Amino acid sequence: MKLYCLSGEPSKPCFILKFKTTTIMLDSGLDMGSLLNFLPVPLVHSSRLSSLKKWKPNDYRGSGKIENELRACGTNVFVDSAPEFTLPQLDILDLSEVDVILLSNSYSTLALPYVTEYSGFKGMIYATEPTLQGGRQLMEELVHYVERMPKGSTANVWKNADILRCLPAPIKDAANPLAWKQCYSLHDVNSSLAKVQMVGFNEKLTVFGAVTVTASSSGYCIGSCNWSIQSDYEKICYVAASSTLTTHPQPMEHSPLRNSDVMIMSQLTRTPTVNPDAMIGEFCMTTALTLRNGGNVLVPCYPSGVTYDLFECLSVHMDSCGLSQVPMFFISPVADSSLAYSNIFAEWLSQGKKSKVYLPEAPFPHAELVNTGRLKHYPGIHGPFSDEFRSPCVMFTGHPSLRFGDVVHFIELWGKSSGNTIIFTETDFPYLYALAPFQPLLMKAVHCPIDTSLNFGQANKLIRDLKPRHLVISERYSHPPALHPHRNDLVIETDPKTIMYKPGSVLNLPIKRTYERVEIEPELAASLVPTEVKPGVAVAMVAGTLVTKDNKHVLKAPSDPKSKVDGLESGRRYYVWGELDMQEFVSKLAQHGITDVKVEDSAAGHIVHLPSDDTLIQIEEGSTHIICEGNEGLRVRLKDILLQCLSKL
Amino acid sequence: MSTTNHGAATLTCPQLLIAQKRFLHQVPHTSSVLDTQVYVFAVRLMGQLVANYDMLQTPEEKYIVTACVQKATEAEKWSEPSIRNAVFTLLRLMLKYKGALDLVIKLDAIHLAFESLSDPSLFVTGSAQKLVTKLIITSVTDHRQSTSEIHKSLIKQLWVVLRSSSDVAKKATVLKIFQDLFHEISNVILEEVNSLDFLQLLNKMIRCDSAVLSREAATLCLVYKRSNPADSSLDLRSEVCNLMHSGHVHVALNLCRQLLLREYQHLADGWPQDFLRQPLIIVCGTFINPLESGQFAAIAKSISKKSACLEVTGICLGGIEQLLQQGKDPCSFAALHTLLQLTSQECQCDVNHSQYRKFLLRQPKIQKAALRCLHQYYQLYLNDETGIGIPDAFVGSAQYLVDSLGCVDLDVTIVSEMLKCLLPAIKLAICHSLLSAEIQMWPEVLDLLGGTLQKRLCDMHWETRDSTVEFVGKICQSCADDTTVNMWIRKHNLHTLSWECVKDGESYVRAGALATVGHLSRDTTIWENMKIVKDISQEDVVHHILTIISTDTEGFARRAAIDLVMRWHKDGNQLQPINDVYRTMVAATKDFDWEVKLGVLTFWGNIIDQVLSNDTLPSYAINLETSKKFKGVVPEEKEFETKVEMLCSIGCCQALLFSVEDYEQSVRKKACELLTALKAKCLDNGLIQANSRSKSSDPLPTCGEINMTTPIFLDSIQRLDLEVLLTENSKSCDSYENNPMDLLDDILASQRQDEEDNAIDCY
Repeated sequence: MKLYCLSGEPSKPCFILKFKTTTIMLDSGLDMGSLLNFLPVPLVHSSRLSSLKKWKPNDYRGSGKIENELRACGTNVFVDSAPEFTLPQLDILDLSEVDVILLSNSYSTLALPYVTEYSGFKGMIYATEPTLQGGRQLMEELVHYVERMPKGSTANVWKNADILRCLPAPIKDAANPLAWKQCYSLHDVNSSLAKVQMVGFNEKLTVFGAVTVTASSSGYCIGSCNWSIQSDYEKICYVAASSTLTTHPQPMEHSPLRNSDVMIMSQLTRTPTVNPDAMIGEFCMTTALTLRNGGNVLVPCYPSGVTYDLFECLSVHMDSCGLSQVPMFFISPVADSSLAYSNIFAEWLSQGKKSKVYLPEAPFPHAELVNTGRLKHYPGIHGPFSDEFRSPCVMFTGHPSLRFGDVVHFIELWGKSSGNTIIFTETDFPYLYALAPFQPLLMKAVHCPIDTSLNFGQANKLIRDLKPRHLVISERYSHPPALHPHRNDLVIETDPKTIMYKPGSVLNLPIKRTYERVEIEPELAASLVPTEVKPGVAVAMVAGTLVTKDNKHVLKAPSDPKSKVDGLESGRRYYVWGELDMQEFVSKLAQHGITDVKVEDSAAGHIVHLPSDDTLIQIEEGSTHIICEGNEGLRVRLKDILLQCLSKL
Repeated sequence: MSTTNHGAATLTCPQLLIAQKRFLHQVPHTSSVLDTQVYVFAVRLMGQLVANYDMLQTPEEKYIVTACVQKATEAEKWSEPSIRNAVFTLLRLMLKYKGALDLVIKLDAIHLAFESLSDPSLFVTGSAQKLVTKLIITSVTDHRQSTSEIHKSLIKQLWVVLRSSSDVAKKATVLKIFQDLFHEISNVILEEVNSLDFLQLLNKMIRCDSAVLSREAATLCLVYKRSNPADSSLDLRSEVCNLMHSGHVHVALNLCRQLLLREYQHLADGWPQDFLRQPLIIVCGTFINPLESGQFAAIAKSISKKSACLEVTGICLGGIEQLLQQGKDPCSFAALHTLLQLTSQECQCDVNHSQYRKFLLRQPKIQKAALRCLHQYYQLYLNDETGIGIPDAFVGSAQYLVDSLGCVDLDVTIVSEMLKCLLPAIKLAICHSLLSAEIQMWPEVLDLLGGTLQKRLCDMHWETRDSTVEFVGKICQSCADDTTVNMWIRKHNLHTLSWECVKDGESYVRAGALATVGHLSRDTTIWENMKIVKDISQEDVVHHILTIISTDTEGFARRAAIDLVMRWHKDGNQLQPINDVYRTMVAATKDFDWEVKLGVLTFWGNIIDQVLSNDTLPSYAINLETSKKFKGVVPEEKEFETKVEMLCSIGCCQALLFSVEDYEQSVRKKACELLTALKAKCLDNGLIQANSRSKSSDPLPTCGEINMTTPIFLDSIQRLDLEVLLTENSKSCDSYENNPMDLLDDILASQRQDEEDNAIDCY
């Protein structure tokens, strides 16, 4: 059994598991950290961005034209080109061999078009319906933002290793930029997602008969799941983004993950030192403070997930602070579908939200907020939005990288006033670097990272509870985060059975397959004559033909009836078993004319002495010795008599 | 029951006594059908008659008491705690009469009282305890042969309970009885019990597992020591040390607390204080003036477990707070500062290594107790005019408070305590010029506090918003004269944010913010700056306040808004447009909240005082047409009439007349008081004639009638018998409780009506 670790970022996982003739890809996360190296793409022409000074290394002597590729903003250098993404290391193996892709949440689907399109992939993709729809919304939004303002040229010269090392940090530390890829198209998204087969929680799906895969709720976001991959005698669990906190999704299920042979754990929190509850409080407080001071609040966000919780908590807090008249705007190309879908996925939600459906009410309060006009959503800033827009307000919009999307426009608009605040809640991007191309910025920037996935304490507790035989984690989880080197509590407690991986590593998982299940054809089974050898255990001789098809093994009756007869009549061997009854043995000996018999009990069994024949029979558990001074005839006779006293099979 | 039956007041005393006897006579005979509460009432009534009127002394009356008590002790009635309580109280009160002891013995009340010493009802336990105490004291002072020995037997019984009862609650009550007895008749007690045995028994109880029993026993030890200071067999210090060595550190420290509480001057060497602060010193690792190694080890050992550590530290902090309240400095400021850091998650300093951190981290009880001590410390230093005592750790402690206050997930009660602490800290800093560059860190601390307060004014929890806005108000009230604080308030927009809190969704916050706005408006610089920043005029502000008075859903907020208007009126602030203010106040007379209505009446009272006492109207009233009349010289009575006319025109008079008929007694009373005063002035000025009641049968004008004219008003107050109304409206529940005669009046009146076959149900 092998595990290929294709992603360099544990929060954007992508694994391939080879197990029992099947090749299973676990998640398809897309690392978007590379976006931060690019200049933002404004919605309307920005004279500030376009007037940024061009940058080239002082001692550059290369042949490539680098002048138009890099621009400097403060001490940072950015690539002036269409944004590019870091893909998982998909070239490690042939993607056409992948039989099935298991997706655990909508955030881990973003690299899917790179995997399924133009790669020869012809397998199945399994995901829950909310994961599929959420993933579609994220991809569509991404594509929309990137394609809305296309960059004319693509910069590649700067990726040259000679130039790269001359660049200032952090761009010079970019990992393998040559492998970066531009965004996929809407066609690719549709084509890729068309291959997805929707599954429900705890629905058992067979992969080529070899293994059964089952999704169970992970509590992270709507429809998010963990996977258990099970053969008849082995069980592997894949624990992706999970949460034990009480938020809107269905709570995490523990029981399907218990007692696995191997547990692969990924997507732990990226902000282990902060409590999501406290951050929500900070978010609400900062928002109310800004609004009371007459400023606007900008929240760069994804169109789903924690954003729903933010709507809920913030609206309550604004009511409480007497700010109910302040509007909340949600701008995203998929805002409408995101809000609508969230309220129809009731069966995937927490019990509290689910029960609202029976009242009947919408599970999320944002439906009511939309109805009352407190939350207004638009696909973009053009059109009806401009009629409704008023200040002060709270603006939720993408993209959290601040490199494209409507957020770029609002930073340009509000960035010059210290009364406004931008609040970062998403944890995918370091907020200071995200803001770097907008400097100098007067707008206040507040970091309230809200990551509800498992923290290290919760993960350790979970591991203790689930008791996997082997644990596979990123080596990054085995030591404290770089910013908190002394926080030894911010690690996964490892033991010799913990296997750690690095990006691109291929692990041999220590599972030895000892047994395989074989089914017996009913006709053959009917012919068996089981003999009970001890209470509850019966054995029978069987002869048949083993047929293996679709990874299922079936024992069938021999096709040639003659051979069956032969097998039974001529070739049959009998097996003796059971304990020797000494009284019966002595009586049998007497029947065969051996009457001078003395039986002694020994430590290991019995010794039978035949003085007249000068013979000794040592009977012990599992062995019998006949010592008869070379009298072969007598030995055979004694052996036959003894065998008559034992049970036969 | 009607409480305004005036007819009954004319009953003569013999009639009253006859009716009273009839009522009480009926009680024993009708006890089986009487409601329990009526029965309780009857017994309590007897108690009141004894207490206030020295009644129930005649044999006939005693018979009634005996019969009532005997009926009350029947199983069915006795199961009711209020009956037991009333009977014990009655008997205790009866003991002031000679020979009442015989009655108590006859009723077997001693046995009942002893049984009730551990009653499920604390009230019954208390009354039984008092009865037993009183019995013993009465027996000691009663020199008749037949009863003089009773106290001996009672003390013996108490002694038996202490020695052999397994009922902890009963023993604790007996200890309390002994405490009271030691206060009153210590010599008698000491004659009856062997001192050594007594102290040994107490010692044993101090060491028992029951916290209540050990506390009471420890207290009794102290009482004993005070009653008998010469007794060298009780060395309190040794007792405390013994307790510590035997693992009862918490009892020992409680004993020390009791010593400090009762200010035992003869223990001036301060050892209880040293013992008490020792746990704090140990957990903080600051070994100042350690105790003997034995005690030190005993305390250290006792706090090696979390629950014990928390309990002992809590006692220690309680004691320190107590000392500070008495104005004594237990020299624990630095340790207190360290303890606060130990309890704080955010603390990054050396305290992380303390072995007690894991026990104390985020323990709200400890945090609150420590903050209370810190508050007392700041108060102590604030009251110390020399300022010499301010410790070096002052800024550090304030810094800690400000840092911790910034923590988002802080408990709301902790936030409140922290803000309470910060107020004297800032005052202290101002007093000692710390706000200047003398201490470099202080401006930074203030800056950080400003940012934190901003956030706290928008906190998720309304309790925090409320305490923060209140804090801003207090700062402004007490420190706004200081230039630095004044600038600091403006720099951090605390004034504008406080104004925004007036629009908060939570009524308590709105009410708190209105009070703060009152303080802010007293400082012209801050107030004018607030209006500029928010781009609002004084009229806008007044209009908003008036809107709160008229439309706010919560009484708290409306009350606070009325208070603010009153304050502004008192301070002579611009209450423009004044006609809107009057109109709103007239409308507020009909408010549903009686406290709002009282506030409105106070406002009208102020207006009346101001109008009638001044020669001219207040400056803000110059736009009134009536004010024109003040400009010329007019005869005095004419001038007064004009003033009354003005009061009528602004709606004051009609509001008062409306309030006289309000459904709330306190409102009626206040309105009567104001009208009585006004009427008196009208009489003085000849606007109305004494003893000349109007014969008009028209109903009194109501608040809905606008433009009440002066003649109508004067006619109305002449028709009203304000004296009677005031007397009636001044009666409270307590007055009936303490003076049952009026209640009897009611009963009699209702009975008389029955006789006259004119039954009106007074219930």
